[in-house]
Amino acid sequence: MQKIMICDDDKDIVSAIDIYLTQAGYQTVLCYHAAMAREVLQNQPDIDLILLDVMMPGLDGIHFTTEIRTYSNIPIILLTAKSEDEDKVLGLTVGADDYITKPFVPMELLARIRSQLRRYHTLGGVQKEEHFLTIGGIQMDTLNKTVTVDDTPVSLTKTEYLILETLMRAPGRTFSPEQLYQQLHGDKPYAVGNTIAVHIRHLREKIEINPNNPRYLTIVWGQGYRISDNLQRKEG
Amino acid sequence: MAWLSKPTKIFLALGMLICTLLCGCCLMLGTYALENSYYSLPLDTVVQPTLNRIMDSDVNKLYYQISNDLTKDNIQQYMGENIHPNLRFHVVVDQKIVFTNRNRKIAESENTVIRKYKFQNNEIPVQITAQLILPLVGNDHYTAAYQYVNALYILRYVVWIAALICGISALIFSGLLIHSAGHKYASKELFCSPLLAKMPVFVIICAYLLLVLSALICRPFLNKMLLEPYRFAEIILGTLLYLVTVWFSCVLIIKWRTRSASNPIVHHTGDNLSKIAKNPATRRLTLLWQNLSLWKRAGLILLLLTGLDTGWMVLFSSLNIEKNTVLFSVFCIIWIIYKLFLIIFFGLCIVNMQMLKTGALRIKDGGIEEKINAEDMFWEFREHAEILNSIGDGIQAAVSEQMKSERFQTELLTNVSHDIKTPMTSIINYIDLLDQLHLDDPTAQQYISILTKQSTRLKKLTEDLIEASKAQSGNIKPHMELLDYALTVNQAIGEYADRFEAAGLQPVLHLPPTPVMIQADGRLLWRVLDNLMSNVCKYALSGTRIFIDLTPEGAFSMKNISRDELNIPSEELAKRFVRNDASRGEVQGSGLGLSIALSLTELMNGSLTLTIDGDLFKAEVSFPVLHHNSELLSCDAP
Repeated sequence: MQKIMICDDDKDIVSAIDIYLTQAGYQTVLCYHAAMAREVLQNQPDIDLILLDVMMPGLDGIHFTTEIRTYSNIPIILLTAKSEDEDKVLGLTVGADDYITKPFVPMELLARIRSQLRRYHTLGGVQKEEHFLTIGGIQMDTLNKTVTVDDTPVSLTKTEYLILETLMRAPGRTFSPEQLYQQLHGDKPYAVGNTIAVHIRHLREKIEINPNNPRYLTIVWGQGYRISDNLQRKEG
Repeated sequence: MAWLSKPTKIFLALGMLICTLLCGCCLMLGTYALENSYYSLPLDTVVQPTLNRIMDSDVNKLYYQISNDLTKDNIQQYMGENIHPNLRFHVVVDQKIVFTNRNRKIAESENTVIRKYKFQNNEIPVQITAQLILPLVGNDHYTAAYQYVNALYILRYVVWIAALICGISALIFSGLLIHSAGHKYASKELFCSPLLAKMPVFVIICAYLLLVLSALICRPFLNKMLLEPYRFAEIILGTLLYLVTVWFSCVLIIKWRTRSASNPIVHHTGDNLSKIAKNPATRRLTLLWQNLSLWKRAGLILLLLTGLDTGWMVLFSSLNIEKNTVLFSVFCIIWIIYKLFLIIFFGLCIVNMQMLKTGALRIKDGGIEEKINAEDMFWEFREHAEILNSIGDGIQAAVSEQMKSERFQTELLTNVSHDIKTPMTSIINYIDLLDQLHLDDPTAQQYISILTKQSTRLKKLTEDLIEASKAQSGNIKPHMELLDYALTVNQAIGEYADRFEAAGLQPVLHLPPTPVMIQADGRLLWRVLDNLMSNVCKYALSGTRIFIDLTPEGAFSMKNISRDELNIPSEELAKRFVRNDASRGEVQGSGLGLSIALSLTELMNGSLTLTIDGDLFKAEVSFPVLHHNSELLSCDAP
């Protein structure tokens, strides 16, 4: 049974999340501020994941994450009411693995927790062979043309697979629809229209926990599409 | 330089006095020699006029002595008195030599000076012939005069050299004295007598000018009193004037060196003027004056000055004042003072204007802290400076007010959004948990269903409201970049393709095949399109078409048929919290969507317009197109 620490200064939120997690079969540890969390981490080294609120009195979530990252690689999901993109980027930059904004959909929270736990535990078991492309929780077997997201296989159409492969081979690079079209059909792009956009949408619905808030496949509006390149976590 | 001790100063002062006097004398002698052609003629020629003058006066004296009685007896008596051995004369009355002081006749010979004089004594012509024979002998005033001329003649070059040396020494002495002005004897300490400190510079300068004026006025009188050809008056007056100038220079230097708050250089002329200004008569005049426009004022002043000048000139010429008279000197002095005054006034005005300009430039560049020193200015300029200072204060107040308000707004947004979202999270979570309990009571289930719906709506409303505030208050800073409008529209349509289909709507596209480059923030643009397309999904009549167009000029438009009647004018629709009242469908929207879209579009310098024509709803979003044929910036060729 996996142990999850919940740290938030609002007791009601903590107890609500506690109910969800316990129902889903996890063991929980509850904290209400960073000092308490720090103590817990020292005394209980078998915590598998931390749910951390950003705006807490005393030490805030961002700073605490930086502190934890100096000695542990444990998955951290940040919970916060701050929904600006800058805040998300900051959180992810200091070492958090995911970011959920309040108010959140409980199902989404559970899905993200599941995804992080799977990734953390199967990281050691990731095939390092050449024909495997891995970005975050997405693993692509280019030999067999299969894709799994957090160990769950995903069935993609041929077009969707090709698009994903192109993007995964060059993480961080923005591809225009014309370029993706060229990859698919080989000839010069003509009347691309919104076909690529529709494929991307379908792709997102399949591989993202929340397609409207994508973790991997981002749309660069007016320019194209890309997969983020800073999703690899440092190996602990 | 060692500061001068008392004996040194006294020595220097005396030295200066003596040298000035000597210089004056030498100059006088030199100019005299110059005027009398000492440098171009031999001695004998030069001495003539002097001798002639003496001869003239002697003959005149003789005549008046004998004119009463021209009889032989009387003249015989006179012959005994022979004062001037060098002067020989004979007197002729009615063409008869009456007497002479020499035995033989006066005859022309070498080295003599003969002059003839004619007098009229009661209609009897009297003729006196006088003669001087050179070389002169004896010890009378002829020889004395000759010796003087001789001496000057010998020294005629030396006097100039002497004048130069004395002049330079005088200047050196006075320079040293001025240099150490204000210092106490043999020390570095500066000292200024209290009386001097209180005395305004203006008064000192006036006193000096008065002295100069009086000197010039006295000159003709002195000339008359002393031997005019020798110009003693000039020497004395010149020396005195020089000394006075040196003294006044010392005074001014002392004032300058010891200047301080209690000993200012420019003495509160402004204060005195303001006292005059408070007088009620002056007040009325001032009011009259201030009612005139700038041009009229300038015109009046110019007229006044021209009138003064012309009047002065007319007066001057009509009085027919001769040169070298006192009146002439007075006129000249007054004229000079008047012009000087104008020049000084003009100069002060220029300086003040420069100070004003510097101050104004400083305010313009944002340096509101430093104030213009209005104390140093006068009259209108001081007012102007004070006005500029208060403008600076006003700007500073406004700026800090603005900054405070902005900071407050930002804090408000951040805090409020967090403070609202936190309890809302709990509400949503616990309602969901309630739902999961799957209570048997149908009433409870109904209540839970209502709670779920309303809390979701509340969540959406809060999020929209916060976003709208941010967009409206300018708290969002768009990251403008070059992007392809056509591509963005395609991407948006791609996102909504499934949703359009699910709502039974069929998109009809007219998009240009080539890029339409605009300057915008990609994510904000998506939010605008997202808002509009989401509205279409909610409010369009199922089974109809959506017309999506984009022109190469950057005008995007989306037209759809509304399911419910639109009885709101289009201007109202974009306002906050306005939704179509007739909308019968699920209450989905918060009423803020269009308002947010409008704010965001305007933030990016675009324009959003809504048009309603019956059931036709049209949204247009336009951006100015950049006429660049640049490729997309961040894509690399695969």
